[in-house]
Amino acid sequence: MNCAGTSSGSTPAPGSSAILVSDPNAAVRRLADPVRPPSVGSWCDGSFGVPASPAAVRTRELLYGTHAPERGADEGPTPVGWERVRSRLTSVAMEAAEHLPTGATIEVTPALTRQVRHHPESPLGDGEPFSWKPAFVRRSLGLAVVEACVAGRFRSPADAVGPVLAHALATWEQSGTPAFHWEPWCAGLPRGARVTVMAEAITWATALWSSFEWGGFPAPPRFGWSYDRWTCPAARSIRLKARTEFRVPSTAGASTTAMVAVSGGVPPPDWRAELAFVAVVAGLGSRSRPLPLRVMGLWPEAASHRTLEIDEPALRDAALLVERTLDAVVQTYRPDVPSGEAPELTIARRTS
Amino acid sequence: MDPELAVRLRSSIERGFERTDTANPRPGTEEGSTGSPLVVTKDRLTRVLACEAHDVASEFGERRPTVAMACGVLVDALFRQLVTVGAINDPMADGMDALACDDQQRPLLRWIESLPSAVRRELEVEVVRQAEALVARWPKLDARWLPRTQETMRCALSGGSLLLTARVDLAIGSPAGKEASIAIVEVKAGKRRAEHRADLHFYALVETLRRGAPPFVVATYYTRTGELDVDPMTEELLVGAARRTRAAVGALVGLAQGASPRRTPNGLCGACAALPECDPGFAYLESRGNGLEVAGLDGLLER
Repeated sequence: MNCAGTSSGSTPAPGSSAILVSDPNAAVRRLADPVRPPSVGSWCDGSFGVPASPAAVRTRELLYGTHAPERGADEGPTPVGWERVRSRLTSVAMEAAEHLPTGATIEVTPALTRQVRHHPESPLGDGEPFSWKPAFVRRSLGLAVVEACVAGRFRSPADAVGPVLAHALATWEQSGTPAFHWEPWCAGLPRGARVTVMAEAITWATALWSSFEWGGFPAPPRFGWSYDRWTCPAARSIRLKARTEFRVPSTAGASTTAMVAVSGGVPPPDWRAELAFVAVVAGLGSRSRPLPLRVMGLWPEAASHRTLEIDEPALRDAALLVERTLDAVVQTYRPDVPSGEAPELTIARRTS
Repeated sequence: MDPELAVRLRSSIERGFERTDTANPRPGTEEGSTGSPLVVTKDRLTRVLACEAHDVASEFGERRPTVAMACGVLVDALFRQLVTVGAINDPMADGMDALACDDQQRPLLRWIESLPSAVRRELEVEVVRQAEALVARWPKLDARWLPRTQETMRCALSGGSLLLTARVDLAIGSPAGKEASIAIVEVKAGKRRAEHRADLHFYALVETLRRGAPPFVVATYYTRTGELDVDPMTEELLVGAARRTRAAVGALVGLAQGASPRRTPNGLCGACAALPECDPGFAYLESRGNGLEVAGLDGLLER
């Protein structure tokens, strides 16, 4: 909002109508009459062929994939397929590690893969020092808000955010251990700034909250508070790191899971590889948790979602993305090679 | 409303963009490159349609702060606070605190802090006045309507080469497929202006393109007067917004391809960074009795 402008006038333009908000209820009626709350728990029978809300469609797609369920459940890559990608990433990581200076580490994240794609000349970015800001809190606070709503403790994110934030701060003050990391920063904020944190979290949470029919999941979603990580055992200086917002048991069986990852912006051209990367890190990062069968990417700003079935080609896409990223980063440690050119040559050699 | 409207609007803008873009491709859009998309916001639309030279001048460097801009940004933050927690205790302090945690607003914050005390006092009086009016007039929204503030909306067109982007002050309602179910409200601390309506229509267009369904209503709330200008959604409104966007995109592509910017003097000239080198702008201001002179906060708020 700003006040700059050209022409001015004191009456509404033709076609619009002005009302004086002296009666707040009249304004609400005017603005919100057709607004309906999202249905919660109304879709749970798995029936198909019925026109459904976007949230119901996404919920069904997350559980069953984009194929009709009668085609039978796909169980995803075989254990051999997972072992193959582990082995390939190990060799890629070992090769990259050979070119790193002593003590240097590389953490491959979705953000790093995007940086490499958009700015291959400076894959490590500008190295701006970290400092807390509301945008860094909105995801974790927003996720706690959605979890509280899904658990039935609150009707909506706007209702939940205050109590959830207060609980987080109180828990930290009692235990001395910040569960979210931002509690000490947030506790010191003056009111206006703290409200900004809450508002950011509400907007983020509302996008996720209104994206699914939460009652449609056969089991409660497991919300992702921490990152999945995989450290190459043979080259510990190389780590893969990614996160998902939540996961639900897949319909194919208890040993597989369907995951949801939320991102900003619009789906990138290589969204498949990005989602596959998230699945690979989750799959390799834990030998005890169910393997990912499907990943849904959600881009709320674009009102878009994409679903990727995790199969062996998807695992290969993820491995290739890691290779490209490591190639580009390793080049920054080779001052004799012009950056932005050498990585492509290396990729061509590896993929040929 | 025609269920295929979103598809038609999309293809209309894409055709316009691709016609101009492929005639003389911009650097970075060739196949296989990682070129950045052409990003179109409501401000860019307004600027480039008002004066191409003004758009070029505004693209570089930060906007010059004004008291009106400061008032608008502070009231924006207070509106967000009111919607979020239902109360504003100390308007100036709360607003400044909100600005302090926003990287993009830090320069404006510093500028406000450096204002002469009399001007700052005048700004504070106006911010407090508008905050009190907000608290008195703005209704409490039912949380189940999912009120959210500063929601970003984006729509990628032409395979991602063109990106329409907007950030709305308030959105309420839950997306419901092809059904119009969302209301969008923009808050303005200044006087009513023609381009406010065009901004709203752009928001409606982006929402329609990204979801396939338009909002059921878009409205501007004027915090100074408490007026709510409501625009019910019509096909004509969206078609008009798409036409305006297409025209602006054509101009922006032309500028990106190196076309010489056209100078079209208008009410923005007084605040334009290109004014020192702009003869038509000077002539325009002189013909209006030097629009640079502004008296008091009311005058500043009108700019």
